Amino acid sequence: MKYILKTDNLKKSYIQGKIIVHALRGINLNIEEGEFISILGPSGSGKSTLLNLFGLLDIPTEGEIIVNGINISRLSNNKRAELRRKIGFIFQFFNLIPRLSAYKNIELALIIKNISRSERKKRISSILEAMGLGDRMNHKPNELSGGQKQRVAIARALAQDPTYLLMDEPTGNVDTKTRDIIMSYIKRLNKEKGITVIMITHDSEIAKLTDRIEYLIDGKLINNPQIGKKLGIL
Amino acid sequence: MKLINNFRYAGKSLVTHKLRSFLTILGVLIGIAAITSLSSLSNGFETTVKSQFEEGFSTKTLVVHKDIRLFEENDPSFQLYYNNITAFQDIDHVILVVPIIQIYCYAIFNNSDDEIVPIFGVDFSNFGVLYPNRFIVENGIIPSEANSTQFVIGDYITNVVNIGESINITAIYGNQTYKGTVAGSLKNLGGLFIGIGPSDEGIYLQIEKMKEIFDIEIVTYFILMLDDNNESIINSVSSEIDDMFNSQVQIISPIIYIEAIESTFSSIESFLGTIATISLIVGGIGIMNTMFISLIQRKREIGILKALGMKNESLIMVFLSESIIIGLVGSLVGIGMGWIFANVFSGYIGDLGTQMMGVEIGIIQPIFTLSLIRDAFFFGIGVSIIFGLYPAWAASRLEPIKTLRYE
Repeated sequence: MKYILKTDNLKKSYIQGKIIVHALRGINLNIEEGEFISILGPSGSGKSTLLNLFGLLDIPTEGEIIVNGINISRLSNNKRAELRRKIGFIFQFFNLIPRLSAYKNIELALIIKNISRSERKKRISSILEAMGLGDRMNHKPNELSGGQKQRVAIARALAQDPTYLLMDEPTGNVDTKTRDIIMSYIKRLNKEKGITVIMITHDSEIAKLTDRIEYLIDGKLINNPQIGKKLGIL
Repeated sequence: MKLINNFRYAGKSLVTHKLRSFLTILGVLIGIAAITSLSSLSNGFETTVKSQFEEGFSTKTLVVHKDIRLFEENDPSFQLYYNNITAFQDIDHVILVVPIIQIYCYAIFNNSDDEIVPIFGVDFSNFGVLYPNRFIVENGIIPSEANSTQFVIGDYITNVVNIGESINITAIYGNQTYKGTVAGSLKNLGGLFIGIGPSDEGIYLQIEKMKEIFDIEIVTYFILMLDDNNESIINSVSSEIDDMFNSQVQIISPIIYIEAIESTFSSIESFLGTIATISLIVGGIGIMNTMFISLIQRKREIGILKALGMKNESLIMVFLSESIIIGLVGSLVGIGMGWIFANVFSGYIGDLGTQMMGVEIGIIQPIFTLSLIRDAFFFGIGVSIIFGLYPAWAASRLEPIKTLRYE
């Protein structure tokens, strides 16, 4: 089986004030292509740090990360920036640029990827249509509902033709009904199109909707729900 | 990200914050407008003064007169005489010698009250050779015969006397009196009168007539025309004259005055330039300030751009493009505004000059050279880039994930 993301004894520490914080203390994780996995952990467990590393926004202190066969642990800023163009980020707070319309927000990701204007147009229109946002194309984020905003963010991630979707509390900022719609949509993408989805969350309810749950506690992964329950974090 | 998309994105961000962008552009605009208007006015002022000076004194001439400076060892009985002409003519490089006798007289124009005016005795034809563009009649004629009894007058004098009418003159020191008619009036010369060439206020007689009326051989000035305005020739001729008259004469070389005018104006220009540059630098600091505020407000946006895979260099370019657009608009509009200011204030500067110097200067025509426009343009852009660089770099160094995870 091909691993889309593989880590080997991944460690990350940083200095906060005068204290060295060991945020990740040896993560070993293999994610197969087409998996829908959630990494579940309480706050302070190292989720942010892991998100940074999986999102190629930071480099590990020790250990390796291999994305799609490429060891990215020691790559330069620019190389990582290029590879980031193939990672579909989906955040709790949508992270759309307020002054740009839905269409332009998606287009920006494609402009950064140096995709031609005609190709951009084709891709964005078809994705927005598929997401049921065809009539919201020219609306700015503040003219959209929370659910619509998150759908625009998902559309942006999909337009990038991502190696994997990296989701950070994707439903933390929408109501339950919207949450269910979004989660079922992601699940469908995963099942029908085989897109690998990595979700980082503290919400065990939505984690349950994924195929596999990894528990992140104090910078380590524990593949055992019982321990998580005992520690009282789940 | 392609450069054109870069600028488009930057432009969009500037348009979103219209007031802020406008105020920042204003900072650059004022600096550039100040530089272009002050430089062009100062250029214009210099050119006006220089050209008027050159008309008053031809650059190939030397003016020699009795040294009347204080504290010099002067012989009070020394005078320049009409028959010194031959001595001047013998000097190498001297091609024409024009003596001028100037006598202050009470003058009665027609039957008006008398006024004190200088009367100039010159050889009309030689004076015309010295000042071919100024000693020209508008009305009447310039008499050619050496013993003509008629006057030639400056344009301003036509206010009190017309061609064919008479002028009655009496020397202030002495009692000689003469009455003659006006043969011709000069064209309007206008502007600032520097030197001893023809002027709007001048009243001229043939020098032979002057000598006869006032029974005088003493000459006030000799104007020598040289075959070259080369500095070494001027110096050698000057020193020869100085020796010849035992240092009792003062020799004025117009080219030296022109150099003095040039150096005066270049220091005025650099002073004004410094002030204008300071205002542009203040504009640059405005850019820096604006870009930093923008950076703080757009931390999340920077995070998004990074997460979407924008390289640090591109991010620097995005921010720098905003500064460049500010500089571009500020410079172009500033040059335009500078042009307008210079033209609006040119009359005022002329009036100011007139008040300061007590002579009519008229309107100073601001001079916009291509190099002034080019320099102002690149200076404006350069300042914008320099002051935009640090905020742009700071933007590229931001850690994105914190701003992306939290509201």
